[in-house]
Amino acid sequence: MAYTAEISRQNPSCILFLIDQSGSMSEPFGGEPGRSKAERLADAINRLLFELSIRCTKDQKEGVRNYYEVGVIGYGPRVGPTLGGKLAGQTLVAIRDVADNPARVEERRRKVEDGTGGLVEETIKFPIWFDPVAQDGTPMCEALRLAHSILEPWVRKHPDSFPPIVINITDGEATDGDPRPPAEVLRQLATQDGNLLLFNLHLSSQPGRPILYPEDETGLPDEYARQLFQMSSFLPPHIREAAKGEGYAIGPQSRGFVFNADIVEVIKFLDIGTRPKGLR
Amino acid sequence: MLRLRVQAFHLPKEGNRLEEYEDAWACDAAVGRLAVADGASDAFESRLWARTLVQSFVREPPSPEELMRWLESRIAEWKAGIDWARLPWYAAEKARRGAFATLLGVAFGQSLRDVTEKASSCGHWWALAVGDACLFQVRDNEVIVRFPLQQAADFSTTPPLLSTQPDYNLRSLEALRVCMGECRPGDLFILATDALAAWFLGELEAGNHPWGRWKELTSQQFHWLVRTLRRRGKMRNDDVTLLLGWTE
Repeated sequence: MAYTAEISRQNPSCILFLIDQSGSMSEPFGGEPGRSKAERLADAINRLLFELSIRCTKDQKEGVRNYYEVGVIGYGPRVGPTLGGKLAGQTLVAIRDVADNPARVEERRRKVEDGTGGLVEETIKFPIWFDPVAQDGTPMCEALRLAHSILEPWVRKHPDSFPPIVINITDGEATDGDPRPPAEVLRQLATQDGNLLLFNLHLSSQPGRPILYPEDETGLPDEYARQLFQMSSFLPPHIREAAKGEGYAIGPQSRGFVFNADIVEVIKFLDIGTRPKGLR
Repeated sequence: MLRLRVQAFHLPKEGNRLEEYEDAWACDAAVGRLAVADGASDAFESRLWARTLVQSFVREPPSPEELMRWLESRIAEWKAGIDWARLPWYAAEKARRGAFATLLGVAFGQSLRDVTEKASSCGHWWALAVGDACLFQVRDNEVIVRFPLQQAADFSTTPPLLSTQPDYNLRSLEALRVCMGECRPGDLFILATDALAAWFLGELEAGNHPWGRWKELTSQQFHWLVRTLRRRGKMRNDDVTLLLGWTE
């Protein structure tokens, strides 16, 4: 059965983000004035890398276990890897190296329960790997082709692993052609455990309810939304269960696609879409 | 006076090294105390936490009423086992989120009062459980006690757990289960962590006597049994711990 491989250090998994860095990403989320989509998305990606690092940490002796290889590809003024600091220029990085090499570490305040029903503020370290960029066009096709060239050798090297998960995050249409053919080629990559999973997250430009994990094209407003839907993989069973557990209406034909997502849905999507079947 | 003879078996998850085994067990046959725990593998230093719980149970078992205070001391022991000053950011954050484990402890004595006063004579036993590690008492080739879970379908992926986070424990203690009984010479007490316990209950439901050949069980036979069951898909691939306590 597909999508059942346990993720282990011998058989790691791979998560590749494709991040739209085009000019329109400098606008705020629809109906949410304030910081730009690019800034809030950078926060979400940094937060996810933080959570992945922690997910792979089990004891003080071994530190972060290499359950994942992770890459972040930006597409906008250029198409290529966008992690900063020592990781600059690398396409796929073992999660332990990610954890050990943030570009910088910021301190942030957060409120936590004090154990007696109140809240106290504490300072935590918040590592930053990825900074916002918002400029030029949306060369999504080129990004999908680059993803293929990165992941084709990866699946050959890891035939027994859970297949790679590619999460494409964009707020608009591709400016370099129809992204469906390169997406189709990308989805053909496979390990013994199944085909590569391509999930698409469309960020909102206007206020309005997001369309979450749809089973068909009903309600999608335009050709570009339908393109992204058609490019998206069906959710494998364990992710369907995770999404149901978070209260989403999920059917057997649900795809890894959210249209007009606000930042809350972005964060939930990243969490659910990268939930492992099992970590050993 | 009854005597207790104890055999302990354990095996890590297939594919993991022995030092990655995150269950724990402890026993003191002379005093009549046994405990097993299952550390949650997605948390931080759960192995250390599981070990702290079972060793402390055997050394000084808590009465259910004083469990919260007992846990405070265990949390302090767990914290003392971590080199906080040298933790990198990810380990510090994971440690802040805590360690989690199930616990099953069994203590023998004339009465519950004797148990807490460190008496060593058999005759009665008392057990506490948080989570899905299970106790079975076998007499005359029949299981006469199943505790705390009664059937294979009772297992879930989110059992109650004891944590190094006191707030979390307030909720877990609602799931605390306590059981008492009496024992006679020839009784067998079986303590098993979840994967083995789930298989065991399934066997009981099928009318089988899975302990039938355990009188002279060797480590080698135990390893063979577990590996065979895993390979046949009859036992989930997980750390496995089995304690057998024979009253004589």
